[in-house]
Amino acid sequence: MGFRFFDHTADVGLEVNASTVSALFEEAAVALSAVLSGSAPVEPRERVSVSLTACSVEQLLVDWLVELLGRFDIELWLAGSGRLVVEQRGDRWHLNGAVAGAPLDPHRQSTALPVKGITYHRLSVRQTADGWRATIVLDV
Amino acid sequence: MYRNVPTGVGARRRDLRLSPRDMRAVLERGAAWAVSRGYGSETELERVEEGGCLEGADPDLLSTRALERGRPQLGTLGSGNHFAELQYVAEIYDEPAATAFGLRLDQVTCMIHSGSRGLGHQVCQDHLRVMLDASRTYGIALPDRQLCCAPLDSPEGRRYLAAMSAAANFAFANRQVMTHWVRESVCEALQIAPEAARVETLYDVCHNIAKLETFEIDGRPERLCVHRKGATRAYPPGHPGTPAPYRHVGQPVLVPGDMGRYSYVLVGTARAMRETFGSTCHGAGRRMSRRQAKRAGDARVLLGELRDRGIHVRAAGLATVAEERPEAYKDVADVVRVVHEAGVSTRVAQLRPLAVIKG
Repeated sequence: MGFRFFDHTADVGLEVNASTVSALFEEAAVALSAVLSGSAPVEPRERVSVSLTACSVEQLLVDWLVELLGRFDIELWLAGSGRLVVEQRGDRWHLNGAVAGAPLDPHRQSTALPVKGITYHRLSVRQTADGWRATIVLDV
Repeated sequence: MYRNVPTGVGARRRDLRLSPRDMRAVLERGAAWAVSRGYGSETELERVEEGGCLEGADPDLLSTRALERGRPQLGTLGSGNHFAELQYVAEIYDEPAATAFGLRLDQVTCMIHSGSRGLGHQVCQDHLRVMLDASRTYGIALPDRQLCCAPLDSPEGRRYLAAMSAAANFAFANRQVMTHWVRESVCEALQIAPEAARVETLYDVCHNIAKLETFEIDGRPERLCVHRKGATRAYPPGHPGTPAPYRHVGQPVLVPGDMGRYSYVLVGTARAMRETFGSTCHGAGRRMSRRQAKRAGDARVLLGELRDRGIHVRAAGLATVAEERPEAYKDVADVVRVVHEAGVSTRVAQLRPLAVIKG
């Protein structure tokens, strides 16, 4: 469980593993923050509520990471731990919950990589024998 | 320059704040908006691709998030492979073209590599989602979902082009503002008046962009959409799109290399119009992934080595320096040799770095 990076010539690949689909989305947020902040720990100072809906679990993951990326670009806000519920109802996937984080402190944390966007290249979210796995390539 | 041009994630100047109305004007007018606010002069605009403004830009097609990401980022360099670099002219290969471009040996130049920042990235992200649906609607089989698309004359295609044009205008304005601040930096550093410094724009050329342009196909002029990904424009002598001061030699082409070696100025050719839709290479291209580059050595050591060679680097983060190390890129001289020998643009001058600012 957790996340690891894989090499991609111009971009950054990310593989995230978790026991449940909700935990997968929580872990993906932490992974994105690790890319943006160079793995420095994020203090859970402010809680932000989130509610998203998408047509597939993969689109929901993209929307979730784009939401976090936007917050970073505008307020330098980094996500830490979260409490999310991700579930399928009918033909839609829903994410509800809250994530705790804090703006990046330029004196303590350096930004590691500017992430331009979340790509659909090699994107996958699937159930495995041990839980859930997501593969994401970040446009950097 | 490092003080005057905001560099790196989150950096911005307090003396440039945009109202929603300003944002709209930036997206509609591009570099002309910047000039109207005192960032440079009207005469510079003729040395910018398309005069610094793409027609058909529609700010109403941008999401609130795109506008939010863009507003604090106008007049900022960004990070990653974006840079501003003081250089000197180390080689001249084509005297007449160099003279037309105002380049001479040992002259100091500055090259800026930046674009539409978070605003453009968000426009892309927003429209990827639209295009995924559109690909299904129009029955387009995708080898990779990131290549999702729609016919250009479909509502989705037209809306994307209008949104992307607005993002391009933001990029033109962004570079125009930074160009002005570079000029101010030179004047400040040398304690001279702007007229004495004579820091003039050579050219501002786009890359990674799709544009509607006219080409001759089977003897007839046709309006085509040219997507220059990893490529840049290289118009020939005599073309109406080549700025008047350069029309007798061709459009200047700027090809950045890496911070340890060199960059090039090329000139567009008639052959490019015939064979590559007036396009040539944009840069060197990466040889190593960012992670490989980071593992290749310590950024502080690299900074010391560059300093010993007379190249001074100021960067917001050491990680960027490591990822952008010279050997992470192909030798741009090899890339330039290929396009030169293919005749789709030809060498005019080589520029070597003196000082680099990076995010």
